[in-house]
Amino acid sequence: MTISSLWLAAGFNLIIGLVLGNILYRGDFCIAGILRDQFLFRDRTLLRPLLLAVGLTLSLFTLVRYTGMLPATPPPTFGTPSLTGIAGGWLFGIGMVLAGGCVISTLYKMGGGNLSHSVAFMGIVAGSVLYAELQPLFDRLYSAGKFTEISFINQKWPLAAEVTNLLVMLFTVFFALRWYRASLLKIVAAAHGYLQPWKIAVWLALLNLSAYLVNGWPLGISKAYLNIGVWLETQLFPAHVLHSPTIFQQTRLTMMNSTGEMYDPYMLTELPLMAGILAGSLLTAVFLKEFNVYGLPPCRQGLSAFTGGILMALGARMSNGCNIKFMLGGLPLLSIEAVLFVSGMLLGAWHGAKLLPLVITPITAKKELLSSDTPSIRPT
Amino acid sequence: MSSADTAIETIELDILGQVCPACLLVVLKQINLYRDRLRDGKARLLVLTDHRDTTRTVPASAQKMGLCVEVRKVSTYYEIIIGGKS
Repeated sequence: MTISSLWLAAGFNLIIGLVLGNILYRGDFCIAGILRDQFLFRDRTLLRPLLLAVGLTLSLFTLVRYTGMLPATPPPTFGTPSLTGIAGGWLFGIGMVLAGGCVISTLYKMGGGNLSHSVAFMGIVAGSVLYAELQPLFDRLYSAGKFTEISFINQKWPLAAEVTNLLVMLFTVFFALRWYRASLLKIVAAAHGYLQPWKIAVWLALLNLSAYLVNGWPLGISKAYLNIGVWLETQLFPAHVLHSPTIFQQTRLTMMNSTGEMYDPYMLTELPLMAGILAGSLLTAVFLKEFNVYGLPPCRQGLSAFTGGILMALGARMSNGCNIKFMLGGLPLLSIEAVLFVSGMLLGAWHGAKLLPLVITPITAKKELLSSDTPSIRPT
Repeated sequence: MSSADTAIETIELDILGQVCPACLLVVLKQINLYRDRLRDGKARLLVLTDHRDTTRTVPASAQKMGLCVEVRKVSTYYEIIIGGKS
């Protein structure tokens, strides 16, 4: 990449982030909530659009690969699988339920003014730094848990992978039509500017494809938290960071620019994406006249959000990625790392849903007696 | 009929700034607590929320329980009024 193309890449990811911030805020499309509610309330309303997003992404990746616009070789951001991927996914699943959102929904909800999610954000940054400090230990676990050198199913079983791709594409079309005819994709919500979740699914697939085409790999964001954490640590404890070189070797991916200097490509993709989501959701909340900061959450809820953030970060770093990278990018590419992470994450979301009622703070209702002819609803 | 006989109790639940699923869980708890009074129209549950998804989950849950629901945008948040048979 040249210097100008580096800036173009950063600008492009910022724009993707702005769009994501807008659509996710409008539809309140929270993957953590979708999975949690499946276990907590058996509510599958938004699970369909999420499955649609995964199926559409796989279909687009496959079709565009057939045209030759995407390389046949898998993206460099996915590594060889280890059993730590399941453990990481499990921690991530518990963490996102406790925090009330994943690494993406934390951003768009924070952009809307919610302080509880700001606490979760700080937890994710703190957890990323904690992982960096403990990296030698986690590296040993990662090596011990490695059981194959195959990263993608198509590397070992290309025919099986192509059959799987075609089957998922057919299932996606079949279920999309079936759900559409049964009106199961039409969601009723009274929020102003509400965007139907099936439209968000289409947007997610298109944005992920465009990121793959431009960056060379699908969307991901968790390393941006690590970049922020390491930067903060460098500012606060420069002497410590100087003697901890492993902190700067977290992303497992470096590239060389035209002047021969090494750089971290995630700084150009994930950080602008993060900034875009924050700005996109903030602008949308302001535009919809909804932006407001209602104060800090109750202590127990704040603690839960912070702890959840730490667990999410530890899980993401142990697995080398987050739910966005693995669920919306890795699964459609039939990455074994993604299969392990998502399996662990589902288990974690189930356990998190069991834990959650214990940490929710009871809220006292205020009672007022009004006569029948007195309007009980405040004027708008 | 005296005004006391026709008085409607309004139960206000302020969950502004709360995150999911606390919003739905606390509202369901209140609905279950006052279910008969809400159905009879003797009470109304007034929920104040800024959580957009709550405008989907709470009305859907309340309607499944056979209760009337109305949602209004007020300033930067939403009011969800639950009460009476649907």
